[in-house]
Amino acid sequence: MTLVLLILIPLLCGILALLCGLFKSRVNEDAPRVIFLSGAIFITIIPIVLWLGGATAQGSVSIEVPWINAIGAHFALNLDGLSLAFVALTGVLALASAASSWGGIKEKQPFYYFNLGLTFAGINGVFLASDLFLFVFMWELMLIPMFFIIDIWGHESKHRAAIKFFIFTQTGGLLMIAAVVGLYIYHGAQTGEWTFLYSRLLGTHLDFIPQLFLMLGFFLGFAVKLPIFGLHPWLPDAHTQAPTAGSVILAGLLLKTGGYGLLRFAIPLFPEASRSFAPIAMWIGAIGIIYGGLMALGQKDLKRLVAYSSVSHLGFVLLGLYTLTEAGFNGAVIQMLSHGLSTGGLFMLVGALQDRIHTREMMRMGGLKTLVPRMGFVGFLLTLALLGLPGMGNFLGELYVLMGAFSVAPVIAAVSVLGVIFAMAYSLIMYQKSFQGTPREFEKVKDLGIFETGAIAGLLAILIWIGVYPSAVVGLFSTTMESIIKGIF
Amino acid sequence: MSAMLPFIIVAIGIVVNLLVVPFLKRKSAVSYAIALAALVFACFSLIVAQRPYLTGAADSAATLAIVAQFLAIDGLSFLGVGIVLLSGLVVLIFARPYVSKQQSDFGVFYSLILLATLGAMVLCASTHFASIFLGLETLSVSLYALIAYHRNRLDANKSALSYLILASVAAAFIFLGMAIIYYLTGKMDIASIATGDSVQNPRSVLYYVGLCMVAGGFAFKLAIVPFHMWAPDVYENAPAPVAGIIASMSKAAVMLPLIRVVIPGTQSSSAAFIWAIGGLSALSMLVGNIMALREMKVKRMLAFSSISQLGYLLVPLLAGGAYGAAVAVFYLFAYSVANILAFAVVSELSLEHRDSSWRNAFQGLAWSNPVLASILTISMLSLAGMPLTAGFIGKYLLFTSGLRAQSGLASTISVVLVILLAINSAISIFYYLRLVSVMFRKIENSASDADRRNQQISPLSISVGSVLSILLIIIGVFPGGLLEWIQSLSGM
Repeated sequence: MTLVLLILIPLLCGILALLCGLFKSRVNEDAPRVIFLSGAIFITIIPIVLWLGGATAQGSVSIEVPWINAIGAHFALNLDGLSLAFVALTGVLALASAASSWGGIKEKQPFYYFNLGLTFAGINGVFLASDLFLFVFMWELMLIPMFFIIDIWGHESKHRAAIKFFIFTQTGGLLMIAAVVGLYIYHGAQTGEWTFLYSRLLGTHLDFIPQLFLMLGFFLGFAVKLPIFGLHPWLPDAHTQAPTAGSVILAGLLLKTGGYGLLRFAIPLFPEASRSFAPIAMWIGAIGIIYGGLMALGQKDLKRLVAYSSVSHLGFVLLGLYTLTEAGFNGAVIQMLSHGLSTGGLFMLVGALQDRIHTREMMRMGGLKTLVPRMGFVGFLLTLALLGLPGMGNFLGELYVLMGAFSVAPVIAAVSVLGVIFAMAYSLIMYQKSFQGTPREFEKVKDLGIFETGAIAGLLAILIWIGVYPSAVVGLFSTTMESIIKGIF
Repeated sequence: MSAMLPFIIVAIGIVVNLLVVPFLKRKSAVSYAIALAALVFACFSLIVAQRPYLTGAADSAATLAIVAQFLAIDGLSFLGVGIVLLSGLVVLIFARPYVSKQQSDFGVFYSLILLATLGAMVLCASTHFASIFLGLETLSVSLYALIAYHRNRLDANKSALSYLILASVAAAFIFLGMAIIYYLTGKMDIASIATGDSVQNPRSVLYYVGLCMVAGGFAFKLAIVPFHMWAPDVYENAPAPVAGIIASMSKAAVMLPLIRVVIPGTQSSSAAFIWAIGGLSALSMLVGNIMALREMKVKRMLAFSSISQLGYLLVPLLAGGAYGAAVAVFYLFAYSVANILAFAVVSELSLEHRDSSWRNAFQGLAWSNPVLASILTISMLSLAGMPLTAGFIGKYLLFTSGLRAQSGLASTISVVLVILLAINSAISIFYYLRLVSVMFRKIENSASDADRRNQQISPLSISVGSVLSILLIIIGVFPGGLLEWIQSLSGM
């Protein structure tokens, strides 16, 4: 039941917020954002309670209820260590987006918080679903409200960015739906059991060619989200044009759903195809790392720089996942969690900056550290996170990934190390151009509020905790990783 | 006897309406009331009449009534008649404020809608060439008059005339094709065409010619590529409610005989059939979607979207069998409801002298009239196949039926079609979402906005529209009930 709450609470908060809008005259103007904040607090507390209570130590929490009998779809949610980590991330970033939307969104607030609530319901649903039909349902559910968030509250070219985001993601999603249906039919034809349950579909024996196609369908669906090099064009536009909270959710959570999907579905369901495809995927990851790094170096737009850095960092995730080693998997997940936290914080910072000085061009900034010391301080810490300083989770993520990669494909790993160097370069350049030096255009800028600073500080704290004491996090999903690896080999 | 009640009620409604109209002296309320009552009672009688299926008293394939060889009121015809009656009812409800706003509220409009409904119902229940033709012609002739309803508008007259000519040619082709088939087989009922067993030489060229002529005529009515050219013009120039009828009722009615033909499932082994359906489907999907991308006029966009949706609908026909029939009916239902809602909103927004056709007429609708905007949003999302709407379940079912085909050629073509379906769905999102995006933009201040905002939106149409859009969402989340009902009725 607790699991259903994780999806239901954001949904209800969203609907309540919308209702506030319909009864504008009788309800306080601030009601929608307060409602959303309380929902966000709930969906953060629940996973923490579950974690501390050791719910996943014994196995997993799950619920399975028949939903559409005619086609064999169930409403099945499953919380194991891996999902718990991501659900916790979702909760934390929900608080972060509440903080960044608090002052940032001024118009049409009820509808905004409706979309926000729906997005979080979908994201939690994606991380929890263990029925493929439900998974697809939740996957698509994340999209529409995100489209509205970018399209209505975004910046200059929001319409183009929103449509690009939607079409890219949806095309991948449709290929994934086709693959899901294909798997369902293969399983049904073989065993006579027409079901979408992940646990039942897991051992389906498939010949190599159909397995390859189905795997590619899943892979492409997740690869667009991740995004891998080649399917990434939607990312810079979407991240730059989205409002602050939108970027936080996009970079912090939506990208991770791609990685989670690969780890949970694309690899375990199709072991032989994944093993054969692994070298290609690893190379794509490596190319993404280099490409993202190079593009980030050339950016004049602050947000776009961070967006390309995401491409680079998530190249590490792809690389780690397709090493098909435990180190690689652990590294990929740590990288995803850390990147979610650090990029979430970065976008909060950059978004707050844009709201205040109405520009994202680094050439016009400068000396912000003296003008807005709080921003300068958290900005510095976030820069350190971005470049992968030991002591923060990002370093560990990249380290484990590279360890895993070296054990199976040393050449690819060696190429990817360049990405680390690029990360250092663009992070420091970013900080130096915007925060250090003498102020160029702007003389007086409003500093970060308590709420925002607190939120970013919280993200940084968790990041450092992961970096210094990773065994807590790794121990959480070690059983899952072991079972996945056992299934592949 | 009770199974025939829907037809009888609608027919009585037409007759009474036509008798009453000359005495009305321009007061059309009576005529509207009669038409509304007829359709509502017909719906009730439909629900009552199909109870034997639900209680298990009659098994799914049983026909509750047979009129010689012509009509068979079986489960499938109930489903079809249900869709048709629902479309007719909704169109009637939002037609009234539309015609009164445009000062063309004459009782005959409602009689014509009833007539079209009756023709469509007959088509749904037809199992014989003669009744197919009868239903088809009744439907078409009423549509000719309905399209040309605004006699003083040049565009409407032009489109109606072109549709009349083209549809008559199509009907002539159908007639000749039927005659050829009768000549070769001595039979005119669908069952024998479906199983093809009374044909002495099924491979004879003349038989194929006959089949192609009939198929071509049907493809014209369904606006499938390459017989689709009439659709954008007619949709654009016809009054919005009439375009709604063409989009939903007429397409649903014409699909039913086709669905009957593929139920026995023997077509899946015929290479000609597979190639034909595959080609038509692929072409319709592609052409419909690509042409819709450039459209700035909403009604034309909806026309092209209908063309591509019909392309999607042909995919389960390839799978055939009872499963394919059930999938096709479900998708028809979702498609019809979504289209009706879209045209309802378009007609609500229409102005005195013309329909509001351009996309910028919808700008900012979300803030000026949230209910209408939500109805149109849900309709667009359903057509695009987004989860939470019935359209998603329909798309998913299309995928399953496409991938279930067994034999070699059929399954290869099906897989190709499914991939095309995925890609085309992605393309279609662009124009569906564009309309939604425009609705949520800021309202621009201009003169046309002033008179737009002063329009009165009729409460009845809004409530019916809201109920239907909520229904679309409910079916999108809990489709089980409807799916099981459809499967039981179509004999799965």
